[in-house]
Amino acid sequence: MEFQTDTPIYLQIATDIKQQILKGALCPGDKLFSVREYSILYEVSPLTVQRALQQLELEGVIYARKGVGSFVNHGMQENLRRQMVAVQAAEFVARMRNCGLTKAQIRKLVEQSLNEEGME
Amino acid sequence: MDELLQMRGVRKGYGGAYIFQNLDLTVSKGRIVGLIGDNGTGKTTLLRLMAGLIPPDDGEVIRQESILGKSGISYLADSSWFYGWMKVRDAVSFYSNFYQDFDVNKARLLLQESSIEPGKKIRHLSAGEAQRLCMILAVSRKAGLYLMDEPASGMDPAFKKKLKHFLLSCLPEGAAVIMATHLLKDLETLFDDVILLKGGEALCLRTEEIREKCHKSVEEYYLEVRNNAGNA
Repeated sequence: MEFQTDTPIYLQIATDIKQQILKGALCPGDKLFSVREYSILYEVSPLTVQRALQQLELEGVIYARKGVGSFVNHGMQENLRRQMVAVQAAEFVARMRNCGLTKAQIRKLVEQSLNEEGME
Repeated sequence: MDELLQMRGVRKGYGGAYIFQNLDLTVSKGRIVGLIGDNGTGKTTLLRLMAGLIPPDDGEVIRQESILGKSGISYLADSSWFYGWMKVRDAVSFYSNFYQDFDVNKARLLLQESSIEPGKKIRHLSAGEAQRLCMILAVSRKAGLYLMDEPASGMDPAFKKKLKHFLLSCLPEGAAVIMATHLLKDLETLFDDVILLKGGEALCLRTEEIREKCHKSVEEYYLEVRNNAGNA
């Protein structure tokens, strides 16, 4: 996985794991890889992985059983989905603002896109 | 206490010129640290001071033996110390006899995975293979602190790409690493901390803090620091 090096890496790892849960690659109750395994997988220091897992625990996405490992929590998928969608929306709006678009223009853009998609 | 090594008020110079005037530095357990600086800023000197290979002119270098353990510090040297007659297996034996903490089986396995033949004469190895041999010898020791001076220099591009993977899978858990490098672009995601050398002083920073507070990559940050020092 390619990381953006101008924002914290541990957050990018936490987001990646959240996305795996959303996609169903990780299911509630599943055991996550160990810190060492993630460290090799993502090619980052073990401390960075530890921080990412701590963040996920803080957010209630995973829970840790000492001596055993970390597991995906139950029942947070809907919350996760809402959270991820909100982040995407905020990023989109920020990018459009950066391009110089007004609120009205952004709305129009979204409408156009929805119509093209043929969505209800 | 998480401190493996402390440098206090260290002064070191060569031939009348001082590289470090008053250096203070702490190395903590389990952290992977990048030592960054232009050529001539003292990276190699600093590593040698840490390893105890050279003494400071003034000040002190304190090693916490209780935490470093019996093994202490593993220093990745370049291949120049090998004798011309040595075969790969001789270098392995040498290390095995010299260091209590050396894992011969690990070394042999790593050599096999690298396709380096034990019976080959070291002077017949390619530069890349020789460098890899040095790295394999260094990581097969079970030390508390690993010091590496430009480990990627002289390596084949193919292995360079696998360097992070190699180190992370071969280094023992909880190992502290200090790696002098100019390859920040490729390696910055590996580091917990960086030590930036400029003007004889060391600026110690956490990589994630740079990213969080400055919204810059460590590479960008370092280039700014370096260029400012030039203009000062």
